[in-house]
Amino acid sequence: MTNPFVYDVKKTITSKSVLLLIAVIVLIGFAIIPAYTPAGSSQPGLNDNVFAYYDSAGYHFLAFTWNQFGQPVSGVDVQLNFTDPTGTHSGSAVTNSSGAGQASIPATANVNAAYALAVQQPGGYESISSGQQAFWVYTQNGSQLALPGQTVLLLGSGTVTQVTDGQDSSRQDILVNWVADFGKEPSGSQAYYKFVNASSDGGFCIDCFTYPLKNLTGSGMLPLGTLDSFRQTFGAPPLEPHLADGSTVFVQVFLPNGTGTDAYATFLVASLYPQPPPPVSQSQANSNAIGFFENLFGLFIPLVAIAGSYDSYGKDRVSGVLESVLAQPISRRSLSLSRYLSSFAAMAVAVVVAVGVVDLITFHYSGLFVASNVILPSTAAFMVELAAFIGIMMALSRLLRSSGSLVGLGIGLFIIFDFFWGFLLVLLAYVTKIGMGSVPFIRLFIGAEFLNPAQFIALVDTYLTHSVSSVVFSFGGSLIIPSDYGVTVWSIAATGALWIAIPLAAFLYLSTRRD
Amino acid sequence: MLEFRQLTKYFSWDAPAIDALNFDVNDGEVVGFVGLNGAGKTTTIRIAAGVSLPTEGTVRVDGRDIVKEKAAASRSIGWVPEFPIVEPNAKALDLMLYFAGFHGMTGSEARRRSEELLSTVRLGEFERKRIRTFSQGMKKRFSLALALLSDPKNLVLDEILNGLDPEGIHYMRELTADLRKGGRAVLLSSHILAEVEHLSDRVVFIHKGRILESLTTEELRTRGSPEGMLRVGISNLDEKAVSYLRSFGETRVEGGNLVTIVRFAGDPASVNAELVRRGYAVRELTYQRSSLEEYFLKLVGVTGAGGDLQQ
Repeated sequence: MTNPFVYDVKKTITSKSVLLLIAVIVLIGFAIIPAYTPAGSSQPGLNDNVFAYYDSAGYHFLAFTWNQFGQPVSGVDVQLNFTDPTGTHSGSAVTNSSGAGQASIPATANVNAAYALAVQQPGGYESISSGQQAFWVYTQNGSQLALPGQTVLLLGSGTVTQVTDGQDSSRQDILVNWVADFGKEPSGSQAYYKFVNASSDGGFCIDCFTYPLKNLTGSGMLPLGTLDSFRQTFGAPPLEPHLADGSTVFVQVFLPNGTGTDAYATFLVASLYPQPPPPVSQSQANSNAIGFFENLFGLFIPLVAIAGSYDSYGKDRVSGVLESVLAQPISRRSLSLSRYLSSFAAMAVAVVVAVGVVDLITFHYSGLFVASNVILPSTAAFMVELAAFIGIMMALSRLLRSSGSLVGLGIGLFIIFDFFWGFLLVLLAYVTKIGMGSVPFIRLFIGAEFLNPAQFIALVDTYLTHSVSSVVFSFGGSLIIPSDYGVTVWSIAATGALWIAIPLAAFLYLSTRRD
Repeated sequence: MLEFRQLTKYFSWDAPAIDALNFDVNDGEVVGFVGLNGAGKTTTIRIAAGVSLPTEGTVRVDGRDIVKEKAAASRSIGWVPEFPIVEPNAKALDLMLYFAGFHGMTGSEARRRSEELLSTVRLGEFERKRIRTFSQGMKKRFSLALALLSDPKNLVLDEILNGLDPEGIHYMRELTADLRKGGRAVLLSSHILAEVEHLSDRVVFIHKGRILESLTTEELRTRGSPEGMLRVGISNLDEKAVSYLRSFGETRVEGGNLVTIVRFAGDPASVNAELVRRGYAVRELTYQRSSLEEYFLKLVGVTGAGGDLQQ
């Protein structure tokens, strides 16, 4: 390696701190993935059911808990208080590894008995249920007191519910959690289903008074599966074709003899069969990239520039290493320019790689590359930010003679220009009595984008999106006409050129005129 | 050739570090640069090396201004700083190759020259070691190799002898002799005045940023004090011998048979011959004389050897 410029590029790009920052910024590129990944439709957290029945031995409670995938959740505490004319009785059950727990209260059946239940997860989640008159059940025969041994659901998510498939989160399953009379497993009972087409059957509620069915016979329902335990998960049945919007799937559990039970539910087809997300449009891909570049990438570019220029120049300058180079046949201006350009080249490569990662990820998930009229101006904006901060740091390193002050000032610049810029604007708006979100405030906000090299990407995005955005403020999504605020191609280009030229000129001046 | 004209450097506005220095270092000449700490030696050398900017005045290296024609001037000058600071994480050979690139050397030429120089300064076996593992003396030798990389016609050596072991000092004696023979101009600062006197053709005295005098070694011997210190060890020393020796100046008798004449101005050989003629067994006769130190101390008005001067 005999070319000093190439050596300097290599030195910059292989320094540990720059390598670390490059790794960080490339990894940050992967943070765009969630923008293209649909969230699961099931809510995470605890699902629970508490069943109960009474017999001559007293009241018996059976608790079941599961997560959004239908998997058992252990350690859930079920507290119960049961009050009858003889007094208040307490009991508790903690679910085991099968997600099931059981408790009994030796009390005589009484129509005026009341219960209170509290289900508490280890994490603090709590659901509470209470009833003034225990064991009233609502069946197809109307509301009535449960018979001895008849199991009723006191509290919970429901006997037939929808869960996310544990293997494929894009699919939904049907979970049946049901307890036969006298707390027995419902072995032999069967779950059946039927599609209710919104158009042919008159819509979602046409059968509201038909279901649940008293008997399987003649219902036209199709078997979903046979129950052999308290809680069982079935895959959603094959989707019938030509179903209109609003169509539903009705699922009910029948006893082995075909008698309908009160374990049933109706699901919207659209919910049980989530459709793949619509293809990402070009404008959506562009919008994702713009937001990502401005709010996440833009935050780190100045830091990369500050750290990289300190590593390649500032450190050598304050330690005296640079003098050994300056003693060689090279002018002060050439040496400074060489270090500036080599630092810029090394970090520009890193930024281009990181932008490329974002573009490839976008393509992987959407089949679309970010439009060139977004990615090129954004990359150019990053180059301006890099050049500006490299120039600023190198100029400062000609003025300061200790590593501590140089690093401290570099971090200070990063914090002020990047993190607290928005808060400074708020303060300024407050002092000058400019209303937040008003036109003068937007004018102030955009004007500040011209004055801060760390906000140059925001300035470019203002032009691209015809809107102002900030992680600090909400501008209500209102669109603006950029030229009304002085944001034009020419003003952006001139600002970028100045942000490159002024720090570089200051650096070159100081390096040739000052020891 | 190095030409210093009206060279002035201010670090603060109250007093210049060096003030209107004027002197030359001619081709084929080794010039000793002598002064107390803070006299301005290092400042002058750093400006000549192109790593510091003068406030006023110029340094010309073979006729080229080190500020205005920096690249061309630096091509003809090598610099060894008092405390060499080079890229600590670089390996010695890699760094040599990097610096060779500034001199436009091709890959194979750069490698051959670098390996040769590292071997010459006894760092050949350390060429794959990182500089941060080097001792101060090794860094000094590495810095010397760097300074010689392009075989420059001019060299500025700042306290080059500091940190060198006896073998290194011996090498420096040979090197300066070779450089002189090769027609190189060498400016050499050192606190080891006896070595400066030994190595130099001329000595430039600097004090408080000003040149006091510039003398050839021959002129120095002429102007310097003729007195030295004579130590005579006599096995059968007696009062007569002491009386004879006292006739040359103030004497001290130590250990029963060792006499020191503090300010001896005669001929040591004659004294030896006379003592032998008188029947004394002379087992030791040492004569020490440093015209440079004596002259320098007179010049700057300091009595006794300064703390930073070594004989």
